Amino acid sequence: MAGADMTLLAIDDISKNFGKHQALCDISLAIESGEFVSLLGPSGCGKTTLLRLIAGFLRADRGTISIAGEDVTGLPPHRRPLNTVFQNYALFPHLTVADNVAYGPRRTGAGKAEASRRAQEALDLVGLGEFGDRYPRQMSGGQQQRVALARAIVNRPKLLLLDEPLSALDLQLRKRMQIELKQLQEKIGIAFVFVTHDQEEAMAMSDRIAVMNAGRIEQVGTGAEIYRRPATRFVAEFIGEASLLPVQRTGNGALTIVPAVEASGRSVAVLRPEHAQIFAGQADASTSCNLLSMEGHVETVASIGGVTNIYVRALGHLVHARRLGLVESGLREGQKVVLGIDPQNLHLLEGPQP
Amino acid sequence: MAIRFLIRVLAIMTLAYLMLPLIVIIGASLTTSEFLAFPPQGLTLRWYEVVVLDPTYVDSFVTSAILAMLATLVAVALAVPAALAIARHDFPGKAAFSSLLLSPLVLPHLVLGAALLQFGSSIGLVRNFSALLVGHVVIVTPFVLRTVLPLLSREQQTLEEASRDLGADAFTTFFLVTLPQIRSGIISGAIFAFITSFINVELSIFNTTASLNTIPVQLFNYVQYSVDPTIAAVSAATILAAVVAIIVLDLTVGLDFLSENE
Repeated sequence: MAGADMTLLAIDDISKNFGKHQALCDISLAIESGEFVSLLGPSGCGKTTLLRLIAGFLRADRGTISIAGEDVTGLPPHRRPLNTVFQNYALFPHLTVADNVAYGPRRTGAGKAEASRRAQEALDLVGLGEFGDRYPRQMSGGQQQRVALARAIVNRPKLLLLDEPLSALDLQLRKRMQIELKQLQEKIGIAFVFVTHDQEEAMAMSDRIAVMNAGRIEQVGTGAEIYRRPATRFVAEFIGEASLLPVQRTGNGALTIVPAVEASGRSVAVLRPEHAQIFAGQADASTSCNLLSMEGHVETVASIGGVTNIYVRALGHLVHARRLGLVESGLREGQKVVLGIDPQNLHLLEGPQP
Repeated sequence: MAIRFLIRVLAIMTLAYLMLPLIVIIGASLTTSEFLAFPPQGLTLRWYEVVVLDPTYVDSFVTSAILAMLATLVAVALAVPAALAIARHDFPGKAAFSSLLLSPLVLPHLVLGAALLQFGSSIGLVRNFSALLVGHVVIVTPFVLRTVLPLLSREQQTLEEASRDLGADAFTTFFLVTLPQIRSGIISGAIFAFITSFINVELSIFNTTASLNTIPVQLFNYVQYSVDPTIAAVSAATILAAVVAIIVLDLTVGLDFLSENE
């Protein structure tokens, strides 16, 4: 099965329990060569457990994992063709940076000279060619992060697992490393499985994102797909911001929004804040045709610099709208307004939602 | 400032309190008198000559040294795998198991010695070197376990995972990653183990004989009947041996690890 469909990592129907706690349930996921896939979810959703199963540090209760067509489910970690960047880097404190990076090649059969040549190459790649003689504790967090990366790619694995590798860095450095990491990944062509709880990070870097919750994968897709067309209520609320509005169809098939008091058991429409338009009066709203409109009043106006968040109470729902820039005059708290929504911008979650 | 000064004075006084008995014993060992005297009355190495020429002292000294060394080696060989099992795995009775291994630290050695004698006599393990060794291993193993266990932290385990991830099997990982990480714990535990074994009287006394004796038991027996400078000479020689051991240790592996920071 290998080769033809380019599937590098195939996870089939994996389940894992810790005692009575079900950590993973029926997980299936296929990752292609050279692909950057993020496992995204809140803490405790099972994303790290899944990573540790792929690496071989844990054994699945059920299901199989294969890499490049070879079933690795029963293989110990050191015999799996992949490498890992650990959350706190896990650099060997008793070895120099060069020896840390040369550790991999040495264990997989390279001679001393060959190993140090490859270590130097990997260190050059992450811009730390001059630091081989140092010990990890003599380096900054960002530098340690790069050493960990160099150590993980020195064996040129087909698959690299990264367990929240940027979470220990401060915001500025993290943003820079996101870009560097993505560039490096494209340059060396290794498939990345990247665990994170930071959706912005996942969106910025990944080809595809697997959103996880409570031991299950809720949706797999590109950042745009999961943002525009979330498959479940969880994804809609976890990715970006959204107002969830209960809806029903009228006789002619058009959507109408149901008041909050009659919400239970309805389908739900996902409304992103940038798609909620605010008009001062009914007349303004009717000028644009085909808009769903709701009367309401402004509850909160919160400006956070680049954008202004406006919360409007309408039909009992609190609807989140957003405008770029500082809000101009005319929007005060308590003011009556009309919300206009283009039905094309609504994404529908069909069937009764909890 | 005043507080700093007080702390300094207190530290010096504490050190003096610890050092003075050693100075007294070394001083008394050099006296020319027939009884223990400090300050020494005249200087002589006569009492050392008595000790060195008396084969019972030399034999006990050798017995104690070999016993302490073997007990320490066996303790390390037992405590390291035990610590790994306790730190890395969950198994039924784990808490009871580790308490059991640490219990000799709080059990009176006299009680332990009596119990071991009872048990040993039922299987023929009494009044020989093996009986001594078994007892000493029991009381010194907890020292190594205590110093190694805290080093097997979650972070340390991640290092082992990193090693496995980079292609090393479990065996290689132990020698290249685990052992260097717990080395300081093994060495400091071994020092405590060695000293504890070397100075033990309560446990050894049950299994020593006229021809098989350890140095502390020999001294203990001797002082019951006479107190002369021989005792001081043996003690001083023991102190000297300890000092030499510490210096050698510092020159070979370094004693930095005994302080908290690296």
